[in-house]
Amino acid sequence: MAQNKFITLIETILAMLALIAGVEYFKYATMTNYEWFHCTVQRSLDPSSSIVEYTSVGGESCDKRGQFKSIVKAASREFDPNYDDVVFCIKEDLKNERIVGYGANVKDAELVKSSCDNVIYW
Amino acid sequence: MSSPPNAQVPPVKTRSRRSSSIGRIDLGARVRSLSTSKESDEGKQASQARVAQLASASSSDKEILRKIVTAYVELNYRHTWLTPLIIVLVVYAAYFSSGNYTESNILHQFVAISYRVPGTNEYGKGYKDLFFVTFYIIFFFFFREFVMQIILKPIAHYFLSKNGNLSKMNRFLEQSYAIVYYSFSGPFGFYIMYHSDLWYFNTTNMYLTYPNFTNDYLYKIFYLVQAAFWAQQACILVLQVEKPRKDFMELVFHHIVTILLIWASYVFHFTKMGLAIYITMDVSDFFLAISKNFNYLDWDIQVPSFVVFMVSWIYLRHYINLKILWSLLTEFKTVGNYTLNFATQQYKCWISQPIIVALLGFLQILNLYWLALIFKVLFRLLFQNKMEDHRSDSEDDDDDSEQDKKNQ
Repeated sequence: MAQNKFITLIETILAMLALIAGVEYFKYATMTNYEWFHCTVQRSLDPSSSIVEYTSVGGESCDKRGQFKSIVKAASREFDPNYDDVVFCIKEDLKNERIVGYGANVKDAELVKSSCDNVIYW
Repeated sequence: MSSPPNAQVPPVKTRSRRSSSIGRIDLGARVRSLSTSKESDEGKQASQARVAQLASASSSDKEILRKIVTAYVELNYRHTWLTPLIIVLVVYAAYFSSGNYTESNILHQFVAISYRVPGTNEYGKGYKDLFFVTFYIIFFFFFREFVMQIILKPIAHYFLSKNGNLSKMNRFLEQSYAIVYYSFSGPFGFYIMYHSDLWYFNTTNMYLTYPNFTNDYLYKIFYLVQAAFWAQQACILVLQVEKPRKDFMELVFHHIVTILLIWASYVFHFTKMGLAIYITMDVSDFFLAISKNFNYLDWDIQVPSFVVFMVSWIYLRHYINLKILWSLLTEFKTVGNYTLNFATQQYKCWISQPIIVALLGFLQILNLYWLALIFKVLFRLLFQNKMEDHRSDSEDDDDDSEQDKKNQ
């Protein structure tokens, strides 16, 4: 009987530790992937070309770093260099205080260069 | 010499127990211990077997070694503070003899707080805090048992034997221990509050500086030692060293809510709110324990002490706690940051607000239930001047005759 109580105690302690670990992991995961929670990527398509303009919105918690991360993640997921040659660039729009990214097929590379300087060819 | 037939037997004069109800109310503050639990038949038989084995002759080295182990087990059975004391002493001895009192010493995380911010008196948070709490849980297993059995028991025996109330020994011991602990934690909490921006239960500053990633040295020690105290209480509850009583479920809820509040306030950086709640709970529990003990002693001062306890309870557990609850509904949103930001661990937002309100609200409901019991006692005290002995009525009294012999 006493042994059962000790086993119950150990089980309770392990459950509590698991809960603590879970919450700490939650805090860590949400901290490192905060842009997933706070930033929403918006896309605007240029009808005359393959250029996609990326911006990220989300209020105060969506800071420039968060915008940058979310835009890069969205663009890298949507353009697959295994199928198409793509170009990508990202810049800070000082006027609107936001980050803007562009992704396009390589044939529109010159158009993309006109929007920002550092173009990356994938 | 027998009395003649038809003689009128004079009525038995019973002692009035106007305030016996005080001792019967368990407001979730009863600090249980291993030593005040009832001995099981299995335990008694095992002890007798050990004593018999120790009394037997031993010739070989193996038998002698076995006797040493048996002697230790028997001593531990009789003095439940022995093993925790050995653990605590070994760790302290190893730490102090190492000469390294910095955080680089692996034992430092057990005996002292960690995560000091260099150049300041502030301490951060991390996984090492769990080691500190665990070590002090073991310390409290020792401290409670030792204080109750070695220090308080002779004092309790002296006072209770005068009134013939030895059946109340265990409850008296438990409340006396509560007096010892809360007489330290209550003033210590007030001292910390006085030297912070939270004096006197200032609610605005609870939210202004949120999130509180770091805490002052004494603040952190207070918080974690309290966490260890309550965690040790919960361990006793899980071990069910006593047969569950009528108020068992309330006790379980009280412990769950308390530990959830302590843990959540610490990891989500609401420690300023936590300090205020700690103080309100501890100080009112102090007066409760005193009131109960005067009741067990059956001293005349039990009535004024009950009144003092009631006033402290209403003021701290209701007025102050409701003030904090109200600030949660008003200042929580308007003072300081009120936006969820996972990157900066800013959790004071629309999600945490209802959670905290729910937890503190549940605590308030528990306290209101207990307030109703307190008023019931007051009603009996004022309006029901009964002349009968209530002692035998309650199933909660420690009426076990074996226990009386043990206490004597």
